[in-house]
Amino acid sequence: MVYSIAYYFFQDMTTAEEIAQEVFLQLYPSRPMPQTRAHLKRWLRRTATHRSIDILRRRGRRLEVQMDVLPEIPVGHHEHDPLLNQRLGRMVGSLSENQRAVIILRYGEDLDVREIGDILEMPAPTVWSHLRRGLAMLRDKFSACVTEEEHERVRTESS
Amino acid sequence: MNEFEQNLREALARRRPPARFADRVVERMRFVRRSRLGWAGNWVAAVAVVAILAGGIWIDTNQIRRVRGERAKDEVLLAFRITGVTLRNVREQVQQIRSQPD
Repeated sequence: MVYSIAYYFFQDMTTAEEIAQEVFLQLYPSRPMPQTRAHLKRWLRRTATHRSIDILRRRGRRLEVQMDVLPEIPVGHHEHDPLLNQRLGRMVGSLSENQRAVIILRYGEDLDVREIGDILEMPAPTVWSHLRRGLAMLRDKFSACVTEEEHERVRTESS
Repeated sequence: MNEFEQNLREALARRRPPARFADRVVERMRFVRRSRLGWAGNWVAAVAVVAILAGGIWIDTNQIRRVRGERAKDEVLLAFRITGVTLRNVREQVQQIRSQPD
């Protein structure tokens, strides 16, 4: 969970592991141990998310979506396509820090708006706003990506 | 949830950390916390971390008390594959490099 949140924030295994280690180091021994599973989950998600946002702000840049790094996606076969999903996951890394956090917590951790607002210390309307904008951006990028590949396929077949 | 959101959910499915991640966490904990916690506290913390990482983020405080009471320190030692020596060598080398004049 902790590693997963950090990984989708940065799309980088090394950074994700560094953040995950720091989160677990914070857990002991300076604070009382969470007594319930729910408390611990909440604390871990909250700490991992805030730590990821802090590092992202410190780096002062967004992850560039390098489309040519990923393998070609077969056109016309999008349902449950792992390559497509891999590309979609990388597109999340191009969102703003708040949109990225909301999207990851909503679809990666399956949290509702209230729970996301609690973790990010945002009111629900703000969470909804980030969610809508993040989804709209992802849909646009995704559509552009698929459309470009379809055009390429048509060009290839007709030549 | 529509199809795009379902794809997004699959794209953001939980990822497992790299191999021996728990080992590296525990090793780092030992290195950083030993002076503050003392020996006994370290092992309680280490067992708790293993319980979290192996069990997927759940911790049983009763289990920790049982482990402590049952002197499970040796069992925990066997369960860990700690690369303490390698880590120390790397740190020594880095410190040597940093201490060299430019």
